[in-house]
Amino acid sequence: MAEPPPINDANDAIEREIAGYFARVDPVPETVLEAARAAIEFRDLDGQLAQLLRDSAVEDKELAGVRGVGERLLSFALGQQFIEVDVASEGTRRHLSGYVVPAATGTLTAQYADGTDTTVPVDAQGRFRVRELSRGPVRLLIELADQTPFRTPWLTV
Amino acid sequence: MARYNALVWATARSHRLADADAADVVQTTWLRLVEHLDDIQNPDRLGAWMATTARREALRLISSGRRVTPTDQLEEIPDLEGSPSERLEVEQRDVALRRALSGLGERCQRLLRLLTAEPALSYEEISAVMDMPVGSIGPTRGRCLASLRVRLEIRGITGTP
Repeated sequence: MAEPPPINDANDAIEREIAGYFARVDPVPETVLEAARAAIEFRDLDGQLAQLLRDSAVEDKELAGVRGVGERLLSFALGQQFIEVDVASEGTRRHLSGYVVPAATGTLTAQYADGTDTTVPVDAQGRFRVRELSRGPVRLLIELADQTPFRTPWLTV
Repeated sequence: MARYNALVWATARSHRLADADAADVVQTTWLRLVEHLDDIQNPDRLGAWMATTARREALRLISSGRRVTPTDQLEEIPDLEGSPSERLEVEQRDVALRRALSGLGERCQRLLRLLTAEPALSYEEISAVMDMPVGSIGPTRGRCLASLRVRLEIRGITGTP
């Protein structure tokens, strides 16, 4: 096989140099590797997985100016059950509020990636509120009277 | 696992997310993977699946108002090994490289970050992060590297140390 043209050698050399640069200045942090190891040991929750229907962070940028700063609206569905979640940001704290349709009483549990969780009531109108969450990955488990429990996918809030 | 961490970290960083946000993207991507293990039929597609998931998550964070970091402020001067003069030389090259890289367009910066991730990523994975056909990666790489080399050349940096 013929020698590759010099331009390729030069490109490969500069690419190796960039690789060395990023390896020196921006390696994957150890804490991130640990979080990844913890994530793959995470146990599945009971409850069926609801699908994300809509996320204002990706879908309606044109409405971004209408909403308050740092607010995000998410909608999930599982069959005929729906859940709407409003995420408000305040520094590194997050406040979730929303409602389930059709309305029913029950509980909503916010589960965090460190394995801890917070449970709040869902009232007769289907409303719930979780205050003072830490930023980071979270998922919600919704358990309503006379319904199969369901959960949302993991979200970064 | 090291490969996938490199893939997801480089994806988050190539979208110029700061430390904590990039860490969130990595963790959420792994959690999503565990959630969807039963849906992934072909293990060969795992990297592309993670790349796509991480890209979407990075874009979500950006549009929900996370601040992105200018590339030339991203890195701190690391602790280097070797003699003082060797360290100085590496530091000078790093500074020149950082400045040259930050002069490139965002797409070039992102592509070069992914192409130089270690362990190396596949073109399929890079294609998923870049949202770019596999066939465009080679030509784009050539253009980005040519532009970078010109930028290094005018700073008086050529070849390898």
